[in-house]
Amino acid sequence: MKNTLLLSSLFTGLILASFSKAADPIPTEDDYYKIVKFEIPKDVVLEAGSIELTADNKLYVSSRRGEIWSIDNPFAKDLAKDAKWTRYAHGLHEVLGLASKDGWIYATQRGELTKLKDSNGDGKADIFQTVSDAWEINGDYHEYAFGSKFDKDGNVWIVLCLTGSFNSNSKYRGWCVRVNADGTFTPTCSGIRSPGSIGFNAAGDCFYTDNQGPWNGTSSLKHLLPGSFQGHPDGNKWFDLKEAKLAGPKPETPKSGSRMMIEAERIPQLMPPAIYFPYKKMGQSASGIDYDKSEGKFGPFQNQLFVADQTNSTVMRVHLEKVHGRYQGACFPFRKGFGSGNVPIMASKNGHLFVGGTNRGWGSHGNKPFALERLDWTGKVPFEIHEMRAKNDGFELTFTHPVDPKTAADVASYKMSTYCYIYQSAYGSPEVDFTYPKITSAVVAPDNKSVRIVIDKPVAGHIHDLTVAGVRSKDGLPLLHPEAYYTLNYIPEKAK
Amino acid sequence: MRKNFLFLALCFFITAVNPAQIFAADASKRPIVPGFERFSQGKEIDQAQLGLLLLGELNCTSCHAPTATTKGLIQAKQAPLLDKVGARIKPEYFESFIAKTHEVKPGSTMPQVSLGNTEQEKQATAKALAHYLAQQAGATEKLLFDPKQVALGKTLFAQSGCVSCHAGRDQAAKEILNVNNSVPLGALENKYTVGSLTNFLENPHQVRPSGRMPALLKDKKEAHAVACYLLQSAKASAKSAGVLKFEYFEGSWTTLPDFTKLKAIAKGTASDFDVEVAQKMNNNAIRFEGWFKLQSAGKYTLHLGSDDGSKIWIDGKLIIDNDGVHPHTVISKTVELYKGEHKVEVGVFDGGGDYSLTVEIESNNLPRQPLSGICSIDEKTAEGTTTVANVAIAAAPGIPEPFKLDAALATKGRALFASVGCANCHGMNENNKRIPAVVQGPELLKLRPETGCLSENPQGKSPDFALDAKQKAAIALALKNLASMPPSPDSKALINQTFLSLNCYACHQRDKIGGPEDSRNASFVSTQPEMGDEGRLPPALTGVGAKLNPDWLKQVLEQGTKVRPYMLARMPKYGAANVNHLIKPLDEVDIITPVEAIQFADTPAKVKTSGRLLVGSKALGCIKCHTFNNQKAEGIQALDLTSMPQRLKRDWFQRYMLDPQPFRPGTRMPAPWPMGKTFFDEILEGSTKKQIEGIYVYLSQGSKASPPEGLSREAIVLVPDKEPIIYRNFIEGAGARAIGVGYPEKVNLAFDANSLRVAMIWQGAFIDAARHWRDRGVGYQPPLGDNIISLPAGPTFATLASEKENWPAITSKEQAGTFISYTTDALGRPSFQYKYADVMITDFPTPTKNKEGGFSRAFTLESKTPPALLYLRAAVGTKIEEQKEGWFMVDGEYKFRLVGAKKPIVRESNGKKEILVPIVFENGVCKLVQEYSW
Repeated sequence: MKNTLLLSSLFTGLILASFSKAADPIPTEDDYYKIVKFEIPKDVVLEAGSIELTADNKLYVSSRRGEIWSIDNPFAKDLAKDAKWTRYAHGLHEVLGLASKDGWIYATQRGELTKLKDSNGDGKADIFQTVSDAWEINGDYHEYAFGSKFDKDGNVWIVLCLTGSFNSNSKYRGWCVRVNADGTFTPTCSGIRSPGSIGFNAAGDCFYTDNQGPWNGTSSLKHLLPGSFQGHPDGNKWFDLKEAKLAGPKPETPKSGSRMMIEAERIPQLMPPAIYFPYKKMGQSASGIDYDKSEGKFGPFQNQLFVADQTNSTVMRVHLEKVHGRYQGACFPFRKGFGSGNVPIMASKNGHLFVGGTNRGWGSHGNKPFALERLDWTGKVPFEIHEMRAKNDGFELTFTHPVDPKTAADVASYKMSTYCYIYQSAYGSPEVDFTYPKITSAVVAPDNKSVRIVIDKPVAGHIHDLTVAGVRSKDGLPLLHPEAYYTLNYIPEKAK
Repeated sequence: MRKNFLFLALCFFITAVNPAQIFAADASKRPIVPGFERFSQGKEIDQAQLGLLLLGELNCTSCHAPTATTKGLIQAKQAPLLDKVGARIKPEYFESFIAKTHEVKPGSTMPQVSLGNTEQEKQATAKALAHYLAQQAGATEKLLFDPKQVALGKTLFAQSGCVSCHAGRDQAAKEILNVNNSVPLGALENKYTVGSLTNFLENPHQVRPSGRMPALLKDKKEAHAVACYLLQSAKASAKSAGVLKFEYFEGSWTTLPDFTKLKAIAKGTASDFDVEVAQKMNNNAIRFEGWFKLQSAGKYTLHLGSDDGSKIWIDGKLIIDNDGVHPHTVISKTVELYKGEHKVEVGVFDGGGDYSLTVEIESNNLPRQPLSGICSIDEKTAEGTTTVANVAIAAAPGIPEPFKLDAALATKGRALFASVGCANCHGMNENNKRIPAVVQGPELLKLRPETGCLSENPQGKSPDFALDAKQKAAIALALKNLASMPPSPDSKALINQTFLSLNCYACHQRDKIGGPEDSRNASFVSTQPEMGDEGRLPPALTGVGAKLNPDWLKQVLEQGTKVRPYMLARMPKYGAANVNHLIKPLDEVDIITPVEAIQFADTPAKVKTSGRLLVGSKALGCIKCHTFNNQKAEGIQALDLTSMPQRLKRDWFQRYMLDPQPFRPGTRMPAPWPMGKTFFDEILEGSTKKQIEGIYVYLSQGSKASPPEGLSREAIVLVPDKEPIIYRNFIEGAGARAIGVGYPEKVNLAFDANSLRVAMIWQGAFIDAARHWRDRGVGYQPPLGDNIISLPAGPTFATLASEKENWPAITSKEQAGTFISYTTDALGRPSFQYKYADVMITDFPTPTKNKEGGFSRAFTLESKTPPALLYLRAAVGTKIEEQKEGWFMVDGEYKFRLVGAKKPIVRESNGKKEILVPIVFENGVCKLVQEYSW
């Protein structure tokens, strides 16, 4: 009986959705951000692993099959006509990181960081120099290595996936390491499980995405503070190595079946994820990371982070703040409908977001085996929650457009639940410890651009799952994405 | 008196282990019915229903006649059938179990039946019944304990589902007491032999037809393994003392030494005739000694196998001589042996190479099996080895003196079997007719609480179930409600009642009731941990009647299933009689809104083609995670697609595909049509429903469905055309950091960047990249071509202290030197640079023009501080012959020569021939070329 009800409501929902689409010009994501496809040359299998844009506006794209392609005119309106493709290199081992410096391209392969150069100007690399191969690989497919761009100190940050995604059977598997352009190798953080990518925020701090599995209830975005422990204990065995001493004292092993914030209280190095991406609701395989560095050329989200999802072929949006000295914040849906399983993303200063995809081995909503796309802003600003900030007794929401004060002040326009995950050695976790806080007030700011909501009551260590279905913009539009998920590791002190 | 004393000793032993357990043992005298134990603590199921459960599980209706109106409400559990029980259960067990039911097996659902008024009378009744039961002879499996099966039994017990209902076991395989809601097994070693327990586990329904104990194990082999594991506690205690004595000797022999002339290096006890007691592999000998007891005289075949030589003596007489140096060889011999005790001695030695020993026994009524299974250390010689564990075993309540059947007593027992009430519950045939019950209690509906079996201390004829207050209250409530209940339960109640009595809830959740308890959750495991809980926990059965086709459901319930090969917990067989009544009610209760029939514009053939397209890699890519007709998927190996329509109802399939989450909360199955929208407007008119139906129609062809696109892992042969192809990946023979190079000249090499050497050269085809490029890319790929030459392992260059010093082995990547880079020339040919001892080495292989195909390898060495005594090791081989024009032939496989090099040194090292080339620098540089031809 219950099933029947559930299903019929589901169907009603579908009918309504399609009805409103037909009858009402409610704008969609496509009205604000357009996906432009690159035409990949025939016979090229560009299972995108990483993207880099060099100072001369050449786009470099690496592939899981070990090629690096350079593309001239990546900002062209007509990509099919104007983008020029050259195979810059081939034969590399699953390149999941590209960076550039002083005329060299730096490629993170499974087994090493390599720098490449085209010394004779024929467009093809002819020097392949090993910068560091101080970590190990053993033939296991899961031993991926994702590399970042350069940080301000000249380091590439590399996250090394575990063996088989469960154990650390090769040196530094489950670690983040830094490799300087001069070859200096610095073990930096332990606790990594199965990364999807690595990148920086506007402040230059390094983050990576980790995925649902052992010790990871769901996929998340984690801050790689040097010396921190990211939660999966198997790689901690390498603390015994001499150079690992640079990463500080070995953390205690967390207790399986506990909760992240209980363990974080006990284990000082344990870094709680800055953002949890609730499984299914946001995605299933968090991947590429970059931030909007366009100063407005990509819309209203300056300095916010974008994080891709491979399974759902989406790009999500993240707003971070620091509470108790640590990053936490909210994630929001941003754009769906990419061609393949998104892995790398790269934001350009002139306001474009390049997105690469592959779905080999892991299926994706986008059904193409691989893709390279560019997301362009149409110049229209969608009605979105712009930022979500934690307060001692609730949250502050800011919006990209002024809100209709009537709907925004109505507590019935908001719905919230909270939950967390079991922090455990078994694979993943269901959502647990649910609470359903009451929205006790919603106060609209005089400029109608923000709303303070007070809830009874926030729960530290929980995701606060908010749906803002009732709020309208002053033009009467609903939010393009009414969902927001705030990872409330810490509740801020009461403002003085 | 003796028993009491020993019992106390046992209690002491337990106390010493864990004081908490003693209370647990005492408290769990009440009959343990798992459903009651679990749900009487919560509110999901009402107490009256739990009372009905007890009425069924305790088989109350066998004495208290149900009326027509109460019959359908109680699912009575048939007590074990006792035909031939004397062959199944150790005769020593009967008397104690009948006399002290709750002490001997706490938690048993069998009541303490009233055996008489005085202690003497009770004793006599129990004894007579025991003799009667022991008289019920029959054939039983003559399998013995085999220590080699214990590991398998342990795995099966822990992972295949036994511990869903039973408690787990500790290191010594002893039952962990008081694990929540577990059906206790008691001291199985007192009750069963390995053979009889094997029989029971293989087919539990033969004796216990009501399916409460389902058939979980696949075959006799598995049943035997679990029996060995469960009965290991008896054997384990023996093991701590050992079943054999051994003496260990060292020396070099080619025949078995005369042990009397040798001094043993070590002595001890062993659990098996196994060379694992040796302290090293070679040049040693072991002598075993022990005793075994035969139940009957007759011809016995002994099988003695060993590598190298061995001998066996029985009662001091040499039986088999398997001496000398040889690979594992078995010699068998048949001998006459008398009934009773025999001394066995076995000697074995190993000169070199493999080392093994097997000693087995076989007869007409004894299948071939390890002799150690019936061996023990002679008590006389093993004095002082009485361990705590031994006391515990000997003291377990219910081990009386050795049993001797008394026919007169058995006849008495036959009469008592009916009069005491055994026949009310237990089936026992006499001349093909079940012995009828003669005891009759009041009718079920006339029972009053706090009287008879339900009274505080059941007196007189009333059996004592040791019910606790909660159980009595639930039964009282059920009895009270029975009169007013409808004569047959509605479908929902019937399902729930069956789920309770068969304990389906131990593994499955249905309508938020049940599912694995926290204490057992971790015992559910998967071969694919990446699948998460879905891969290890049995599926929830909420709405299962709407999901599964009745035929499939019937098959699953009756026969068990294994559609989820990654899930180690099994769906066992419950037997048609116990579960068939579920199928109709499930079908009735679980309904979903039907999806109207779909009219396709396309022809049926086109619909199937569209379904195939959707399942394949160009569309939804279902095959990325699901196997297809047993062909592997790229990623995880989820449920086989071709089994879907056979299992799943069409309406359910339609609804599920549209949105999987409501049906399987937390599933990793993505919604292929998010928000009901298709990504493929061009397939089947872009209609979501038609596309889902198309897949269903396509998959309904089962194994005849033609495989979808993207399923087969076609080769990706890399063919160098104008310029070389480089392939850095896991290459078999060249390591995890291999750099393969295929040249247009049809010669290829693989450089190992870990050990800094050209590891292999070969001719013809280069490599197939499919392993690494078609799916996730695990493992090492060998060369595709022919004439593969593996060049010497170890560094290419090394400094030696002298010309005599052995070439160093590479123990770490760092020790090999440092890999620097490769650069490619105008033709795309790589030149490798690596560093060893401050020398920068450039190693530039190029294909040679000769017609067989070959390589020319140009070395350039540069150093500001050239080391002395640096060598190139040009070749290693068993046979290296110098030929004309400076060529050397290595093992008849390939030729090489050196150009521009100093005169090579030919030497013997490590039992092989080596060619070393001294490296002499001029102005910090040395150049030379090594050419290969093969």
